[in-house]
Amino acid sequence: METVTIPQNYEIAVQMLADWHSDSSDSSMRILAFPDPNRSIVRLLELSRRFPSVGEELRPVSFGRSHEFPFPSSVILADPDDWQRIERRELKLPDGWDLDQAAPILP
Amino acid sequence: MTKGAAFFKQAASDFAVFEWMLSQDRTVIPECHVGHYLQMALEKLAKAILIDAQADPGNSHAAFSRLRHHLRRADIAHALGYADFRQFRALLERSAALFVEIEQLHPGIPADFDGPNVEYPWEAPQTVGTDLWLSPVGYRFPIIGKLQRTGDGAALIELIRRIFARYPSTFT
Repeated sequence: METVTIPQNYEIAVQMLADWHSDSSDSSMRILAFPDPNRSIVRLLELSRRFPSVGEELRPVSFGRSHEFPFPSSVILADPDDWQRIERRELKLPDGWDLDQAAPILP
Repeated sequence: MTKGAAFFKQAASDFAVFEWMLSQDRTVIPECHVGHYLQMALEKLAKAILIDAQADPGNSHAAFSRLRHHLRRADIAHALGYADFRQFRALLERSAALFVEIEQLHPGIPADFDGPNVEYPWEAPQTVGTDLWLSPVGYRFPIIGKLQRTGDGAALIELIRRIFARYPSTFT
């Protein structure tokens, strides 16, 4: 039976999800967190040349809280060119994602 | 509506329900229901694509793992928006175990298997307390956690979304 460490607070949950998704073999990978002021929803934007461009819509993959990960989470996969469009505010972030609060987590 | 289109229509609805349940509190919604809709959606999606490719899988529930091989083409990768075919193929390779694990949520796969599945109770191994039978409700299906805990889990969901979004132009 697989043993899973349960994150005890919001900050640990953000780092844990980023660690799970990081790939040391992918030098193009960056992960940014978009903190929730209510410290409830873990939001990550993951950038890599591996991922296809999002096109015209940023649509997160969302998970509800669970016994093993007691925080809802949303993850967007995008390529680095998409990030430039986000920074220029040409691509609209989903509701609740604040570009001014984006914080690099990895590398 | 063609047979392939009918399978696709039902698969798209199943997948929308799966995504909705996945986003809900899973301490409330049992994982078996999340997994059931995932398995049903992807079996029907695979059948739609195989039917349209003149490779009708018949009544077998083992269709989704066949889809992985069918997708491994440069023209399909590009049609789905993956510019780098090598990276697309690598994603399919890394996801092989996830394809199999999703397919095996069905009670009939593998054949003659009497164990954890998302639909029907199964006879408990003798080592599980005093219960003679176990029910899918309350069982933790590892695949649901893997979709969240691995980078390839989100990448696989994104791939499946793209197949649904671009199905008519890519596969019919």
